[in-house]
Amino acid sequence: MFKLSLLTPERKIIFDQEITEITVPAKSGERQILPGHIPMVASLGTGILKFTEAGTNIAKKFVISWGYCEVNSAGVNILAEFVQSKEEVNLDDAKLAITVNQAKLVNQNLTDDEFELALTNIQKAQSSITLAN
Amino acid sequence: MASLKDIRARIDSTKNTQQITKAMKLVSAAKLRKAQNNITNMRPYAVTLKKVITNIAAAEKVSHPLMKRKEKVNKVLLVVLTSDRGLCGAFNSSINKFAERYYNEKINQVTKLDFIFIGRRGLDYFGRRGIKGVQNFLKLDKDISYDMAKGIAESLINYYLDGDYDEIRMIYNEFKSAISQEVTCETLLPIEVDPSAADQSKVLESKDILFDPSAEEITEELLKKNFNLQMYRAMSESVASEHGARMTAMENATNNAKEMINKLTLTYNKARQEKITTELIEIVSGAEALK
Repeated sequence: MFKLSLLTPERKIIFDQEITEITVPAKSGERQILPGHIPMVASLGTGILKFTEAGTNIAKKFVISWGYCEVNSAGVNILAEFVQSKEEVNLDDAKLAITVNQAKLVNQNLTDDEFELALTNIQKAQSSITLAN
Repeated sequence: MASLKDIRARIDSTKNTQQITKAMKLVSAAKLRKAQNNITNMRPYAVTLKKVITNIAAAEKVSHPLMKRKEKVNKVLLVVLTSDRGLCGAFNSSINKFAERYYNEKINQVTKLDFIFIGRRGLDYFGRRGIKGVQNFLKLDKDISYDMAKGIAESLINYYLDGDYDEIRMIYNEFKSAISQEVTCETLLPIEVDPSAADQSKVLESKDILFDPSAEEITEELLKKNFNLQMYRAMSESVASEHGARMTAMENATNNAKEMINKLTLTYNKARQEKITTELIEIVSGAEALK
């Protein structure tokens, strides 16, 4: 068992929650963290965060985008810029975001940053849809 | 002496003013609570982020241009954080005065001293003195968001990394409590990280820490993120201070209006009595004359 904190600049989503395992969407691929993991700092991409609370078997899921995951002996700290729970997902918004951003990718001349942003938005929306279903 | 009608009109208009100031006070109180929540919500994130950075800096001895102190500071960029709207007491004027004093002191010591204005009040004040900002950010009256702070922070970082400035300082109102704000001048860049502040046991542990991607890349991104957060914190504090200041100012205004109404009512009653007395005397003396 170890502790999880999931924080964004605007709110505190989970703080010092006891969990048994967690899977984070690191930039280099998904990483599962179990108790006793060696200290690590990893940057996170866009995707679904999955963890199991201590004493339950149900996996809780969140969509997260851009963040950091620090693992130390006490637990896992996740600092993300965007976090969305299943209840917060709005399917229509997500679908709209995909269409709008795809159109951007196809039709406009974008700078690298804008391209990246549009791509992230699509990923974000796709993850939201996956989460909601 | 003002006629009865005039006095009545003044009482009415003062009552209207009082109603407005009272409403503004209530609105500010509600917004203040929200802004305060914002600050408290951000705190755990800020503390954790700071901890991660100090631990890495202490263990890895990474250095980064954002953390390096320049030997001679020649080019300074001043970020002046005010509000868009007035009617909030000394909130904006104390910032502007502080910034102006700072400007007058420093202008001879450095080769370049530029401004960035966040909020319309600072922009207007210095605009009247012929000073323009390199870049201005307005429309703060809606709720500030992290994204907005991030945008501002990123452009500041770019100025710094391009070598346009050696130091970036920010002047803003720090939120002490609902009734007190303090003008603060803070160095934003270079970022100061104090490795000795790190928790020693954590440092030993992080000697063989795993980085994904490399330590340099992570440090860079973390520093940037921390800077964004600093910006967001300062802006949240400024907004909370603004509402606090406005609340106090409006409270005072409401009290003053009340006092004014009392005084005017007294004058009104006196004038009314005087008028009645005069009329009575006229009637009595008319009756006397008829005898």
